[in-house]
Amino acid sequence: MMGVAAAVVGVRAAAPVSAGWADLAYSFGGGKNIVNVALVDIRAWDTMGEISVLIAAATGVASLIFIRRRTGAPPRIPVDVYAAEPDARDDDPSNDDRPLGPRAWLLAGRTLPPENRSIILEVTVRLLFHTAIIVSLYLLFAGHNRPGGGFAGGLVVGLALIGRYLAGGRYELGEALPVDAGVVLGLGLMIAVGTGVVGLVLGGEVLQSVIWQWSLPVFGEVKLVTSLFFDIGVYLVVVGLLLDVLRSLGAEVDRQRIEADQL
Amino acid sequence: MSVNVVLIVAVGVLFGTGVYLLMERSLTRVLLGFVLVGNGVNLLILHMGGPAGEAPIIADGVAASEMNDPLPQALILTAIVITFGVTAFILAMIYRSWRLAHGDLVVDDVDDRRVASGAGSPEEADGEVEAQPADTEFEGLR
Repeated sequence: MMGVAAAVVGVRAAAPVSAGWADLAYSFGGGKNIVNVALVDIRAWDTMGEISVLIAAATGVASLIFIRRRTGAPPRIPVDVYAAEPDARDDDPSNDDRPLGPRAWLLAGRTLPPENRSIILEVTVRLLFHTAIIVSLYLLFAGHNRPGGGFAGGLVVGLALIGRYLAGGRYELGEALPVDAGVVLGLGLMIAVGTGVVGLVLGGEVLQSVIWQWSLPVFGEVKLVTSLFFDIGVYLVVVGLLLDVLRSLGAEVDRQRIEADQL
Repeated sequence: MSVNVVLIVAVGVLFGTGVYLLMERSLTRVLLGFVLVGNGVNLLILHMGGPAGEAPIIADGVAASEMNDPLPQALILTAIVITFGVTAFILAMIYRSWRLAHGDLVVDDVDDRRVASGAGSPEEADGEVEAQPADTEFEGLR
């Protein structure tokens, strides 16, 4: 392989196919980040196939881990956890319907055995989680012109969720994102495919993108490229994949281990 | 023409160790080998893209000819995500294999060998099906 790697640099005879991409990306794709425009516009079919593979892999993982049923949201905190610990409630009696008072850093921290908890990790995750979500949304929307994009944004959300799971255990995952991973995956693919179909219905090519420009009173000149919706679909698929992997290889494996310990 | 020796050596090491691990019987080592080979392929694609240049983002003062080739970067981005998905799938396979058989070794398929050598179907040969190990989770389901 080292020989191949050394030889491959010198043997290029034809001009690279991407030679004109810099102009195409801005005039047709409407974005300045050529790699991102390539992913969501120039080579959109490639990305479409890729997210299909991701959904197949996520479904395969869930099918291998879950024995009987694999749909549904991650588990929420069981009610009896609070009933067993009355001091978990806030002192104010008007807050009795709220399971935990504002003193808790993570909602599901009390479901863990005390020796498995780390207050430093819980505080750090609590402080970083919302920042990470904002950063991921910024990456998603800025990706067309600056570094970022649907993949990077989705992975940042996934990292935030992994932090919540590591610090708070399997119930924290359900509290962080109480939706079925399959719904997120399906929604993402639906948006991505819908973007392609709309182009076809309106008389263009499949996955063709349109640049809209108008001026708003506060924001000034606003430019919207329809391939952003395709990128949002990719973003949702990546978030769904990470959530599916976490709830299968994380939460469900934990549950099966605890179940096996009790036998 | 200059060649980046560090990248070439890294590709070689990743491929060498990765292929060695892929040849193992244990699925966990196969997984590690798969990850190493996947990263080696990504580095190879990056290396094939030509010499390093400016980031392929259109900005004032950067000509298109100075930019790095954007196509390999897009391909690598796709490959990384696919590698992640496949890695998660192999991990799930290892876990399932551990739950069912308490091991992750890929053993020779004896029946397959017998069929390949032309000795007839396995049912004719040994007449009975081996009992499942008793300590699997299917015990209660049967």
